[in-house]
Amino acid sequence: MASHMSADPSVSIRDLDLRFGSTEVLQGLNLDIGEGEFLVLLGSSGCGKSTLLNCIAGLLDVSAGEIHIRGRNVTWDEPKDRGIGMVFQSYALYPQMTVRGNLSFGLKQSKMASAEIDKRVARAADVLQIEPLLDRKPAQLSGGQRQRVAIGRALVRDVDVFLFDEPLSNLDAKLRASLRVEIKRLHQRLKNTMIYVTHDQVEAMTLADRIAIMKDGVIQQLGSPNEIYRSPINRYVAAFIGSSSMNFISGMLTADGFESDDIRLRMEGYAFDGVGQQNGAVELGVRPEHIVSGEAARSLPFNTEVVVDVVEPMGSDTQVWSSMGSTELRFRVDGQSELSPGDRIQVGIDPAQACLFEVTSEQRL
Amino acid sequence: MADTSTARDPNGPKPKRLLSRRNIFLYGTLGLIACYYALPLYVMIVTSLKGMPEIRLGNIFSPPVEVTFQPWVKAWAEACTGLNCDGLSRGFLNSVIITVPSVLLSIAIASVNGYALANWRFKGANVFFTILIFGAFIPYQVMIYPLVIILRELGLYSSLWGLVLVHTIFGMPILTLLFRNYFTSLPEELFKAARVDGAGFWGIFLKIMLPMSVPIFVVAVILQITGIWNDFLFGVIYTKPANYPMTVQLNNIVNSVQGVKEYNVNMAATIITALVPLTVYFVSGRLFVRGIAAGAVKG
Amino acid sequence: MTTSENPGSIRRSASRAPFRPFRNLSAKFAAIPMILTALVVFVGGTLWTVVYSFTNSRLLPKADWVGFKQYDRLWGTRRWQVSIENLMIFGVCSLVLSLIIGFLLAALLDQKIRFEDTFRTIFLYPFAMSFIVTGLAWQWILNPSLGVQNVVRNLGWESFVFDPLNTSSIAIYGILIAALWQGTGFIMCLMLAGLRGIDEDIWKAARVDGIPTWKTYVFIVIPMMRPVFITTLVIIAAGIVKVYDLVVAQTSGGPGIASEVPAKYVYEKMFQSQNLAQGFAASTMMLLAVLIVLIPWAYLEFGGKRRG
Repeated sequence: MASHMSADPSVSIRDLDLRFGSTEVLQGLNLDIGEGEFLVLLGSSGCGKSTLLNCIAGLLDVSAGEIHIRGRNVTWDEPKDRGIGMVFQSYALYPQMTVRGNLSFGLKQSKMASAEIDKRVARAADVLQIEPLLDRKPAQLSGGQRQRVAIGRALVRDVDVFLFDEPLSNLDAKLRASLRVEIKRLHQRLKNTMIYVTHDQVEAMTLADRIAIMKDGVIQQLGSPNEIYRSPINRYVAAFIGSSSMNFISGMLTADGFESDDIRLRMEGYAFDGVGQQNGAVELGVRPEHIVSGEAARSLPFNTEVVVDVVEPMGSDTQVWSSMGSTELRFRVDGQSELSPGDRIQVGIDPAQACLFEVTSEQRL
Repeated sequence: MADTSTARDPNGPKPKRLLSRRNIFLYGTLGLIACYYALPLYVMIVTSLKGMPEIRLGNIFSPPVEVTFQPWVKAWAEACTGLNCDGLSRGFLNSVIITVPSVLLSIAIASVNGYALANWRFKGANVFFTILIFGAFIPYQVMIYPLVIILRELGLYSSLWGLVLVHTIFGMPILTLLFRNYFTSLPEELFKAARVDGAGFWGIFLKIMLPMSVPIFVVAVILQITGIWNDFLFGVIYTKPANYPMTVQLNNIVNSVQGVKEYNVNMAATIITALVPLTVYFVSGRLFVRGIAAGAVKG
Repeated sequence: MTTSENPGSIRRSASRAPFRPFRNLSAKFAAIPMILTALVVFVGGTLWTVVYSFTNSRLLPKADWVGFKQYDRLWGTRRWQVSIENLMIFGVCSLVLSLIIGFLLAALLDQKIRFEDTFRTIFLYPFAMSFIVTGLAWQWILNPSLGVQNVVRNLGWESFVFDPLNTSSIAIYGILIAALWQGTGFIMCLMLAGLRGIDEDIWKAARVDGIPTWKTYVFIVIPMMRPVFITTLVIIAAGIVKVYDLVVAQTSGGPGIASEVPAKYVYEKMFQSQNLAQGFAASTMMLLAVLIVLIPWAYLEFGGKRRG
């Protein structure tokens, strides 16, 4: 991650504010994106991620603050002068022009020599493997092909920074997965800076060098996918990330460790953030996939027997809803296991894999 | 390096001059056009408030020196249509008597049509609907005489109810389309759920669909009040002079050849005739736009 | 058919052939007014008029067949020729100008301006007024001795002439001015709805590509709005053929017969000069004119969809 924090970031956002009337959409936002970095802006709808992207593109006027791209202050520049290319969720292809027309229209506007235009279109078509489609109209293309053309339109501009605004959201799950890989391959090949907005955490985890998780116009956490998954900075991030959501158990933190009605857990091996251990009311967060079940659980600092309530087989593994006294606990077992409701099973929690959140601030301890 | 920014560094919103060339052009053009569109109404109003001597001497755009409401009184109660001299008041009453039942009947029938077409697709329904939509574009002129015969056979020719029937018939295409499109846009599950619950054709219409359709009924009412009030052709053909709607009377007052032209009275009468649809328009605002756009675009 | 032999089957209709006249009975019952209107008035009435245009009906319709005689007489009548000429001039001008003005107004309003609602209200209010009111208002404004011509002359330009309603050669343009004033606001609304229906991302993409606004309109947005333009065209065209009230109020067809229109010809033949069949023939010609516009459009609009 440190390698991206070079002295000269590719895109730099400084104290950015955006207001629509009296509603604050973005507040005092600071973000440095390194040369060649793939940054994903992740959040639920209305968190301001697309708004931020539009500000970077110059499609929205900011209320305060500056945006720098490649060391140049572009805050007042027109989108076309910022050295960016953009890909939209709805593709935004010009319907009456052929694919070739779509790719070359912007270049023609900048009075580029037609030989150069042809060269760039040919290169983009080669990179995206859309040569056979060049003389078709957008209506004759599938969703995946359209999105490839839309990426091509950004590609021919030969820019430093690519902006993606939920580019895969209009596609079905299968296409989404394959295009996701293609975008990753594209990034590995071109090594451009890419800023990618999505609400899909799988896209974020798989594509990003770093993820910025946003909520209410504020970046909650900025870090590598692994960091965000392992040590979420607060309860919101912890709950947002993860394909099945985290177990949260209310309790107290004392010198002896975490204590609730059903659990006593010494926090050996837990890495406290910054100020260290602060006793008081907390929530213990454990991801279902980090709960160990069966005989292996007996070796962990905390283990107990739980009663299975509901079993949800998901093929590769199975999610189990169980109760431990009055506490509900979800965990994952192997897809082959044959648990049924009413069964009893041993589970264990490793404190090093868990998170503690202060109750009022919801910050990680 | 971030803090060394001088005052000239771009920061925050791009400064926009209020009087940029674009804005001057944009608002200037819009303002001029708005003046052009507003002018006739303004001229009508000022003319109706002037006395005849002032009109003969002055300029139609200048505001009245001496405001008089006499033309309005005269237009309402004393102006002559060629047949009688009791002004527009009679026409106003006729127009109300024509408009109210026409609006109610046409909307009642068209809403049921739209509902039947949207939710109870029966064989052949689309054929009739297509004919209906084509009918909206066919010139009335090819249908007016057959209608005279039909009404005569029914004993309704030149009666109030005959005209109501005519308005219902010619309002049917656009209103049916309006309602059909609206009912189609409602979630179909709602209709299916009601059927599973055992509700029938009328039960679903009255208890499920109607309560959800207030906006479209308002749109239809606006459309019909304006359209029927403004009608001239049907009023002339299907009623007798004693029942003439306001538009016909207005035309008779203004374009009657006898006597000296009293432009102020004419303009007062014109405004009075336009008052009902204008009020509907200014009060309903966006719904009016929605109505005419929905009725036309999807045609 | 085998299941219908099942003795336990009470619901015979469920397993029978698809002809089920009593299914959806209420719906069919409720649709009777629509069916009657469509068949009796729209189809029946139109056919009746066309058929009787081949008769010699005068005060009352009678089946006295005379072939195309009414049409011969119609096209030999100066007044009808003038009416058709006027309709052509009025039609072409009003189509072109309505589309241009309507689109320009819509484009101006679509610039994220302040007071959009106020401007729209002002542009559209004439549409709420009847043609009679419109015609009378403009008759007054164009009044040569007291209206615009007089005002300009009083400003010092003594020789200024602008008197369309009393000048035979340009009377129809006087009506055109009033018609455009009344109807362009509505066209603007249709166009504005079309503009608003265009994906916001298209505009963003064009901005990122650095395409100037006017070029975006000409090369991208207007081609995208083709369906809106076509629908609007049909609506305007159908309205043009019906023009009647406006002429009656503004000029009564005058001066002389200079501003006559077909709809007025039909009305007067049928209801004033007791020459029914002549009116039928004229209205059949009007129908023909509308069908020439309508059939290609319906084919494009609905015939195309079935294939796509």
